[in-house]
Amino acid sequence: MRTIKRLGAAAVLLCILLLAGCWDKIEIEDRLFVLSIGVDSVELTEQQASEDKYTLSFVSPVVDQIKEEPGPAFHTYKTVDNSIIMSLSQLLERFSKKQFFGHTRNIFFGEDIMKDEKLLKEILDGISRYHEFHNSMYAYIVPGRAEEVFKVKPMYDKLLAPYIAGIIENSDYTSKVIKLTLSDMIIMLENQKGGLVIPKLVPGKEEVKINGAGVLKDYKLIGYLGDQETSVYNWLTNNARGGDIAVEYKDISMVFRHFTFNRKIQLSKVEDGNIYLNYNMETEGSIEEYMMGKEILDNALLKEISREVEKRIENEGEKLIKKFQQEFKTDLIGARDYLSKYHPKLYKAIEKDYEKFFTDSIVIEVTANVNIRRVGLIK
Amino acid sequence: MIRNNDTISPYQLAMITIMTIISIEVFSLAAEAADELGTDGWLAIVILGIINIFAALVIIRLNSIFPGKTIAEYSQIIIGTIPGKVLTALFAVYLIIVTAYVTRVFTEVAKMFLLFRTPTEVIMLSLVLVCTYTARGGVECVARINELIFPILFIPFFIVLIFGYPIMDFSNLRPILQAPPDKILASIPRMIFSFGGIELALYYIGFMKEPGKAYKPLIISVIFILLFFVMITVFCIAAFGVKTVTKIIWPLAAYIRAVSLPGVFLERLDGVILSLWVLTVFTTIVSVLFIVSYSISKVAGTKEQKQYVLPLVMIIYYLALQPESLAELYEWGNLIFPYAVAAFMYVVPVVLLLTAKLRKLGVKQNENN
Repeated sequence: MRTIKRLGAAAVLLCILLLAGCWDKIEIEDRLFVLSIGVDSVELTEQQASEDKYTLSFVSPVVDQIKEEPGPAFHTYKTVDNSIIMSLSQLLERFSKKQFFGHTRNIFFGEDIMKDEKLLKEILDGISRYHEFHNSMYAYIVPGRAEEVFKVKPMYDKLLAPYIAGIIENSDYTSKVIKLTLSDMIIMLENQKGGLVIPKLVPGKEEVKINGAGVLKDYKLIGYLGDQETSVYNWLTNNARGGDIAVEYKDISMVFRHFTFNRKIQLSKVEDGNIYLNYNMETEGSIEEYMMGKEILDNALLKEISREVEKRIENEGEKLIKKFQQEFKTDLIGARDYLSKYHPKLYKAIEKDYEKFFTDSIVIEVTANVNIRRVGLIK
Repeated sequence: MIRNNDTISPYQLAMITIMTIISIEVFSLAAEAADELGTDGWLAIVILGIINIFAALVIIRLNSIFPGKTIAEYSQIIIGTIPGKVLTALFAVYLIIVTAYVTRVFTEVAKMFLLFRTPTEVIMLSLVLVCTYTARGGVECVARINELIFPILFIPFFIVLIFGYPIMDFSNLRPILQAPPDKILASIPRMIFSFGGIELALYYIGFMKEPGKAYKPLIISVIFILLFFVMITVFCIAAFGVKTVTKIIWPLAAYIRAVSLPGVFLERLDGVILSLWVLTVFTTIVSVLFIVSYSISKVAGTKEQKQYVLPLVMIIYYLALQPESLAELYEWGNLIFPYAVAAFMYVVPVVLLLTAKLRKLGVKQNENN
C-alpha cells in the first residue's frame, strides 16, 4: 500500500516537472526595445561579404539613464547583412539582450533603397511577413542615408524616436506633414502598383525636419515634392486637417488658418474621350494675421479675402495636378481611386492603359469654397 | 436513451450554435470573401446565411417529428438500423476531421501570434485535453460552458472591433454590387465551411424538452453569425482595401494588431484578444467532441458516452499533425469541407425529412409548423 502511495506521489511530482515551464518567457530586463529602424543599401566600404545588401541601423533607449542625466539617452548600432531577418539574427550574436520590436515607432528608408526596386520589395516583404513588427510605425524617406538620422542628438528631447514620431503627429495642425504608417505605405504601394508619396525627413545636427515628400512610381523614387507642394498634396488627397495658408491681399500679407479641409471629387462630364473631373475643396477657418491699424471685421472685406484664398488653393491645386500629370506621369492624387470606386463601368473601359489616359485625357478642375468664420481677438 | 437531467434550454441551444460555428475561419474569412468577389465579398456571406436559415428550418422540422430523439436515433427509424448506424458513424468521422482541422489551424495561429517557441504538440494536447474534460461532462456541461463563455468573448471583442474605426475607410467597399451573379454563385462552395456547425443542431435539438421551441433560438443564432461575419468582412476590407486583404492570411488578426485603444497603456491588444480567441476554439471543439462520443455510443449501443472521449484525443492529435505545412492544411480543408459540410448540412437532413414524410413516420404534426 505504501509503495503504491509513494509511486503515486512520484508520478504527480513528475507531472509537475513535465508540465511546468513556459517556452516563450522572456524577462523584461532581457529585452532590448528597438524604437527606430533605419534601412540603407550597403556601402562598398562596409561590405563584409559580397552578398551583403543592406545596412540596418537601430536605436534603443538606455533605460537606467533616462531619469538622471541630461542629454540624449539612447544608443545606436548597425548591422550589415543580406536581408532584414539575417540582420536581426546577427544582432543576437552581438548583444546579450533580445531585440523587441513591439514598440518601434519609426522606420527610415534611405534614398538608395527607394531607387532600387528589388531591394525595396525585398525589405518590405521581410517586414510585413515578420510577426514581431507592428505595422503602425511611421515611415519616412531620408535623402542621402538613413543612418544619418541616428547621428542626430536632439536638443530638447532625450529620446530620438518619440521626438520624430511627435513631429508626424503634428499633422493634425499643419498640412505640410504627411502622416504615413508602414501599413498605409504597404497598402498604397499595393493599390497604386508601386506608387507612393512618403514624407521626407531631413536630418540636421541637433534636430530633424520633415520637409516635403518623396514620390515613387513602380517602386522607384522619381522625384520630390517641396514643402508647399506637400501641403497641396494633402489637400488633394483629403488628408489635410489643420494648417495655414498665406495670402497677399492689396499688399498686406495675411494668414488663413483652417481647422477642417474637405475634398470631394465629382465627375463633371465625359466628352470626346476626355474625362472632366472636379476637385471641390471646402474649408473653414480664421484669419490669424492682418495689419495693425486696419480693421478686418467687415463682411464684404472678408468675402474678398476668402475669394483670394480660394484663388490660391485653386491655382496651387491645379499646378500640382499638372506636375503629377506631366512630370511624374502617375496618378497618386486619387482620380483613379475615385473612378474605380464610383464609376466602375467607366473605369473598366480605361483600366488597361490608365497611365496614358491619366496624362492625356483626364482634365481636372479645382474649385474651392473658403469660409472665414473668425478673425481672432481684435477687430 | 436520454436521461432526465440531460436537457438543454432554447437559450443554450442558441449559445451552442453560435459558439460552435464561430471558430477559426473568422480569421481568414475576409480574405476568402475578398478573394472571390472583391468589394462584394460580404454578399456571398449574406446569400450563404440566407440559405442556411432554410437549412436550419429543415433541421428543426426533422427533429420536431421525433421529439426527444437525436439524429443518431431517428435515422435508425427512418432508414433502418444498419444504414442509420453507418450514417451516424460517417457523421462522427466527419466531425473528427473537423476537430483535427480546427485544432491544427488554431495551433498555427497561436504559434504565429502568441507562442512562438512553444512546441506545436504541447499547444494541441493541452487544448484538446481540456476540451476532453468538458466533453466528458455530458450535454448539460457542454451547454453551460458555451453559455458562460459567450459574453466573456464577445463583449471585449466588439469593443476592440469598434475601436478600429480610425483606420477604416468605408469607401474601400465601393464599387457595390458589381460582381456578376454567376461569380457569386461560384464563390459560395468555398465559403460553406465558415457556417459549418449548424448540422450539430440535428443532435442538440434532440436534447431539448420541446423541439418546437428551437425555431427562435436557431434562426436568431444563424442571423447573429451572419451579421457577425458580414461585420468582420466589411471592417477588414474597409481597413485594408481589397487588394491588401487578399494578400493577408489572417486579415482579422492583422486588423486587431492595427487597433490601438486611445491612451498609451493599452496600445497592443492583439495578445489579449487572441488569448480570448482560444475560447471560441475551445467551445467549438467541446461541442463537436461531445457529439462525436455520443454518436459512437449510439453506434456501439452503449449507455454512456464518457469513455469514448479520451481515446478520441489520440486520433485527433494524429490527424492534426498530418498536414506538413499551412499550405497543405488549407489545401486539404478546401478539398474536403465544401463537400462534407454540404452533405451533412443540406443533403442528409433533406433526404431524411423526405423519407420520413413518405413513410409517414414520427409523431403527428401540430397545425402551426
